[in-house]
Amino acid sequence: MARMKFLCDAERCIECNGCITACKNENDVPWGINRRRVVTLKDGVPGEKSISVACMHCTDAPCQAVCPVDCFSTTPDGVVLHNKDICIGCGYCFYACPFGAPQFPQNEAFGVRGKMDKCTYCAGGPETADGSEEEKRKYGSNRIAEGKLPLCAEMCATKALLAGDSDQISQTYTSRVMQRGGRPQTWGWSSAYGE
Amino acid sequence: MMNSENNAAVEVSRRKRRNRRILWTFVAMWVMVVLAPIPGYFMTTDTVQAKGEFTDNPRSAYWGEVRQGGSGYTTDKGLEAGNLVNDGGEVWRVLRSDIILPYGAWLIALAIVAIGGLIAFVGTQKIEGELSGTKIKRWNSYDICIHWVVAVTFFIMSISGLILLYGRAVLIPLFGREGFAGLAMLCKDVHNLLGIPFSVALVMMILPWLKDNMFRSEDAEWLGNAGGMFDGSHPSSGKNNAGEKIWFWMLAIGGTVLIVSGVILVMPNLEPLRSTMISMHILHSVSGLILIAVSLGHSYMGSFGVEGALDGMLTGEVDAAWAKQHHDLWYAEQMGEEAPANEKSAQSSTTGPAGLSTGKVSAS
Repeated sequence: MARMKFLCDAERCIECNGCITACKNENDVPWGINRRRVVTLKDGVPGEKSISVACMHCTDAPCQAVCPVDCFSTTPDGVVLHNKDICIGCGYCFYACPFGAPQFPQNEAFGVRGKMDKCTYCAGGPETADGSEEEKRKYGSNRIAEGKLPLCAEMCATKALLAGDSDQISQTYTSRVMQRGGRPQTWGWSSAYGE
Repeated sequence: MMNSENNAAVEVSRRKRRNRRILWTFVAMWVMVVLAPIPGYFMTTDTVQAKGEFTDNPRSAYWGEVRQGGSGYTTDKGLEAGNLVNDGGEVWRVLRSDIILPYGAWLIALAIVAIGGLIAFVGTQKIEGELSGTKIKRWNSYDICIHWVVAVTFFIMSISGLILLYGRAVLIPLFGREGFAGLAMLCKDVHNLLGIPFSVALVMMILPWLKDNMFRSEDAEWLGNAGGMFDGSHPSSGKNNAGEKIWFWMLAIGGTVLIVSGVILVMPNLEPLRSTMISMHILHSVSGLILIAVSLGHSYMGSFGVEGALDGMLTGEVDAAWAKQHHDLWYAEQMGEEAPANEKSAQSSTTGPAGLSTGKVSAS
């Protein structure tokens, strides 16, 4: 059985934010919600590296463990989905998640949290029919049901962001590391700019 | 004779010296065994420092920084969006799921068992002797009103809070996830909205009642024999006894914690950090559970536990006999200030076996 994962190759990510644009466009993500974000460490100084991060679809996900209404479920592919009909917008998943993945729309009075929104691995919702209008409205697209991978990874220009079965993408990443050589001194910033 | 003694003394001193030599050799050996490897540490440190470039792998340093919760630049305007990994939630998860949930349940179970024990083995504290028929004003209409607003909102918020805390373990197996979701949503909204009247009423209750809840000298004795609950005595007490004062202060402190943490939790617009929200959630659930457990005791003592106690909070008036039995100092104060002389003598004629309180009344 496949276990779907994201893997971001920090040596390749150029902080173009294309993954975010792809995600927002594909899933009609509401204003103020970011299912994915790119974070750059050492921005503007030597050693700068960027990484694109979203829900990591954890095995034994902390959000799932703390949800008071048990709205999370893991698909057979290892994708963590949440049911927006059940979600009460308490924010506990946000406290528990190490990656800051759960997002809350604040459309109501006093900014009370609405129903949680997060990356669905472009797999729609757990309770809606694949590709239905309801699914599109609540969760965005369901590319997995169409046999496709999440659009963020598919659109990545430098192929930094990989999505797919964890064994396959880690193999891809390993072969990249082997070709680059074990030491980052032989490529990347220092070899290019002589730092 | 002399010579042989001399020889023996020499022999003894020689043996002693040999033993001392053996001892010191052993000590020296042990010290060297311990000390010998130490120069190795200095040498290793030197080597590592000399090869600094090898240990400083930029990629590993990068992921190390990510793992330590380092922040970077991001176009995402969300709070703490620049933080890639924040594992504070794992601490919260363990505290909530493995400590607060089970021990909170035990705490409430313990309170229920304790009350069951009181019902079974102690029973209601009856008014001793006859009712006097004389009523003493104990609470005015403001007190009664504010007490019941706090009590009702506290009760509803306790129930909704407990449902949110234990619903997944207890109610989802009964109703299913979909069935429970509607109830949980209702509980969340009720809990959030009722927080406003609860907070206002709690402050309006705490402030005017502060004066009567300051601890005084007689409270130590009252606490010393648990208010006479087990030995049938009636230790002296002012308007509020020491137990009531402790409950008041628990509510004042715990309630303040609940209000402050609740406001921070319910208003993400205040932009609290995730670490703040986590600690506020811990404070909120711990103080909530403790107050729920103690409130059960208060409810019992104020209704079935003490005969006549509930009348005070329903009508505002208590029977003089009850007042004399449970709050003798307050009773004396009231009588001294307000009661006409003939009523006072009528009171002393109905005095029960509590000689203690008789003494107090006559002293006033």
